[in-house]
Amino acid sequence: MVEERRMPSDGFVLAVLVLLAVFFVLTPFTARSLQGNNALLGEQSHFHLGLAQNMLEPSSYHLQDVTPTLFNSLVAGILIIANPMLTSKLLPIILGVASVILFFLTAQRVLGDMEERSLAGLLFIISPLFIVVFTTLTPASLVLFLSLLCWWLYDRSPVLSGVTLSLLVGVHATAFIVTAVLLVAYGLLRGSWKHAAVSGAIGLFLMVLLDAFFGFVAGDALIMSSSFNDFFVSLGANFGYSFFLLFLAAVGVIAAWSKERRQIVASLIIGGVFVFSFSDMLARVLLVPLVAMLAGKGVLVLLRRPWTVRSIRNITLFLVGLSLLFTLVFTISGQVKAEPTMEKLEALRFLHTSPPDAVVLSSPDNGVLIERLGRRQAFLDNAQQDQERWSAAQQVFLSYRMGTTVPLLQEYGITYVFVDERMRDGGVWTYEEQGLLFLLKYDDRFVKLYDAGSNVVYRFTG
Amino acid sequence: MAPEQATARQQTATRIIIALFIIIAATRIIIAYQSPHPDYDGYLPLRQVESIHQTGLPLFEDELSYGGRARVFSPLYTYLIALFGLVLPKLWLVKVLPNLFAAAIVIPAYAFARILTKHEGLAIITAGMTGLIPALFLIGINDGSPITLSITLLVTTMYLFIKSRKSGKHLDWLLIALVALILLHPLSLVFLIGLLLYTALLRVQSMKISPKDVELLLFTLFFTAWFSLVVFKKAFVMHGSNVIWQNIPAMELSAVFSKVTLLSAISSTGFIALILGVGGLYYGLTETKRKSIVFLTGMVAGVVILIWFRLIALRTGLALLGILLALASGYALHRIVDYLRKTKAARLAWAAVAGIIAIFVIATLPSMLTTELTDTPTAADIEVLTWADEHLSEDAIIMGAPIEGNLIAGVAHRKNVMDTDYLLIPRVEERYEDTITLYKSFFKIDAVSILQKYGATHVYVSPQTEAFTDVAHPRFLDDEQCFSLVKTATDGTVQLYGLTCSLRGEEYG
Repeated sequence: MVEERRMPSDGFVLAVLVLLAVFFVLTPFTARSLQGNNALLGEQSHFHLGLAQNMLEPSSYHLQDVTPTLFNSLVAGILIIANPMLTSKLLPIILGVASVILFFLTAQRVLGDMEERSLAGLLFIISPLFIVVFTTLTPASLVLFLSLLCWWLYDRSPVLSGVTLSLLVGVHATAFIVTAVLLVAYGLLRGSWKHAAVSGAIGLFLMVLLDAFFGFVAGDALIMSSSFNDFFVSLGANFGYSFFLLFLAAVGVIAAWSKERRQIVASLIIGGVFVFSFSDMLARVLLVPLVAMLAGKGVLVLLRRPWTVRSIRNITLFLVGLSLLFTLVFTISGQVKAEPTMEKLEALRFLHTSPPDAVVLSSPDNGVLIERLGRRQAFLDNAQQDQERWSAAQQVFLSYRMGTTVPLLQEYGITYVFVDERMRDGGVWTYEEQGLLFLLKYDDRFVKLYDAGSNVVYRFTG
Repeated sequence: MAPEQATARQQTATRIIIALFIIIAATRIIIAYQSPHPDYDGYLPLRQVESIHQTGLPLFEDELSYGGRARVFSPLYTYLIALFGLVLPKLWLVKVLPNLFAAAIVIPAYAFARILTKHEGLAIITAGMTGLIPALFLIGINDGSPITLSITLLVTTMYLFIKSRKSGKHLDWLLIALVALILLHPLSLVFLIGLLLYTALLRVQSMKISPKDVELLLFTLFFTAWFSLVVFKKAFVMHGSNVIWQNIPAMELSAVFSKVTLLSAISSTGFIALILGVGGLYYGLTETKRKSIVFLTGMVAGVVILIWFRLIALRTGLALLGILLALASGYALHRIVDYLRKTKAARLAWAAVAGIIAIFVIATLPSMLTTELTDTPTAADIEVLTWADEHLSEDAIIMGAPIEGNLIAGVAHRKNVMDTDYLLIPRVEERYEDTITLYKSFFKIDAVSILQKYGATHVYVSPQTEAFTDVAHPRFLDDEQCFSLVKTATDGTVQLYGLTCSLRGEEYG
């Protein structure tokens, strides 16, 4: 008698997925706290927290130039009732858990097979983008959550789906456009493109309305620019795809392929978004659920395929598992090592002992950290709009002449220089004694105040 | 055919193949011993072996290259030659072993050709042609690189793939060969791309794709990708997609490719092999639609694509192309014999083959026998660098042409500013351009600032630096205030200068 395999219930699978998701996003925080580093992960988190706090109580001079988004308003709203650290760490996790639930509920409708949706769910939560997005205080977390909400509401209520769609505009215009395009493709696949039209029309109408009355549309700020190398985590991308996940998704596409016209059109639309995602981080984030679903299908194809050679099957499947695990570990360890590191945190704490009016010159990537954690004014950060400052910093970093450097430092009142490993490792300089590094070493107008390996603080005595 | 007759033929074939192996190996080794020294890059494997013998580990952290850097590479070949290095003289690891590996290509080539032609004689001829391809005589003769073993292993893998498809046997051997190839050298990418194109061609030709082909493709893809990401993780993170070009400076890349004309490319792949190979592939694809020919076509197309996009070293690409076309030539010869046998000139069939072979030999032999080692240091190089080893301070850093980097590290045992392994080197373009700028400098201030930028204490001037920069004697070296001649070779062709001054902050540009 053939015994039928007992499948776990949807509720059980969802609970396991939620627990796993929480585990994966908590791991980097836990590992960092064990090292004594309780700071938020990545400069972005500090930047968005700063922006939200600035909305409640304007303090930072340079953040005045940055337009906050719906995401920052949400963070600011929570900050009224909760502690900043708790808000910053918990909000992404809550959005992550909600996204997992919405993903699974959507997959229930799209993927008929229980095994398929369980696998898709698992691949969704172990994808590098999921982990990075939901461990960082970034607008991308809200974008992914709202997009999944749109998908889930789509079959239930196109009107509500449209309202949700319009909210995406408040985070970033690209998020709205990409989600709307994907909804059209989804509508075509489901044979309900009219729903997509209703959602899209309502979303567009509300977007115009909100923008006209409240200047709601968020554009270029906050979302990191990207290049092709930002596409794969293996190529050093932070917000990128795993090569293996994409390959499994490709297998899934081949398995699901049919010559129906609407499917071809939907595939072309998704293909277009995929090509766009090479250069746009938000598009990549928004495609993650789709990629995970297709990859789930791909894994199932490999598992269920009647392999002619058992040894090849076993090794290939082992390699698939190992590759995904490898990427997961790589991503989590990348988040554990995210800025600010413990060493940098200590250097920033040291900066805090400098005079309150100190102006610190460092890499623009360190700007937010110097302001938020060192509590001193950074000469430059990535939100800085003043082009003169950028060119002055460039001159100071690369000049070997005190005749060039001193007047610039004096003009901008720079009194401290903070140098870290990233700056020495190609971020600013390539060689040991290049430009300012040469002067810092040999000119006694620069006094080394703090030196902890790769993080060094100098005072410019003028 | 009686079984005894078949066995006798088989034995004769084996003897001829062994003879071919010996002839090719001997020729290559004789060429390698034209110079008593390894090629410039041949000093790196020797240092790797030395490191393994001393510490058990290859030079993943090399203190002498680029003044100190990390290296990423698959260590299998390094360990393999280190193992041989326990019993063989060190120089043999560069001059003998790689040439034995190269000559061994006749064995898998013979086996592969036997499947294609189903004829002992034609298979032997094909194997001979494969081993004698001129481009194969331009690689791995005297540099101790894993390329010769990788190419032989690639042809072995191809043979095992076709054999396992036909008989269902040899699958375990195929997996072993494939895994060894992947672990040995990125050349496994050629097999992967070839396999991808083979499946695509089968689809285009409306031929059946066997499940085994798909499974092998999946396995190769995953294993290659996984292994590459594990070994080259650091390089991928640092260089991004540029890692495909091994971070080779653009000027170097275009210089290598611009030196090759279409005629020289054709002559290095072998004119006869090219004509017969292309003809064989065309006939096989359009008329008989044999899967082994489709596979060979996929491999040829893969190599052409890799050469076109400069994703493979040119010499390696041309050698591979020549080898693959030589294999396809076997099939063309088989068709020629078959065709002539059906005509009134049946008796001339073998005479025609003999004629073609004669032309091949006449066209190939002179270039093969006149092969000269071009990338080998001169006695003057060795004299000056041996002096440097004995007299310079331990922390001296010598600036020379990139090709001389491994020589400086291997003979003088001093740090170089640049060599030919560009992976994991930040802003390599800038360093490369600075090296050229240095030799072309007229003024000491420019030269000293570049030397100080890299911490270099000595400047090496040789025929190679002249070839690299078109400057025989850099003018700035005449400034006796900042540069002193510390050593000249007896024949005067190589000089070593020491830097005797430094710039203060205010003097920098």
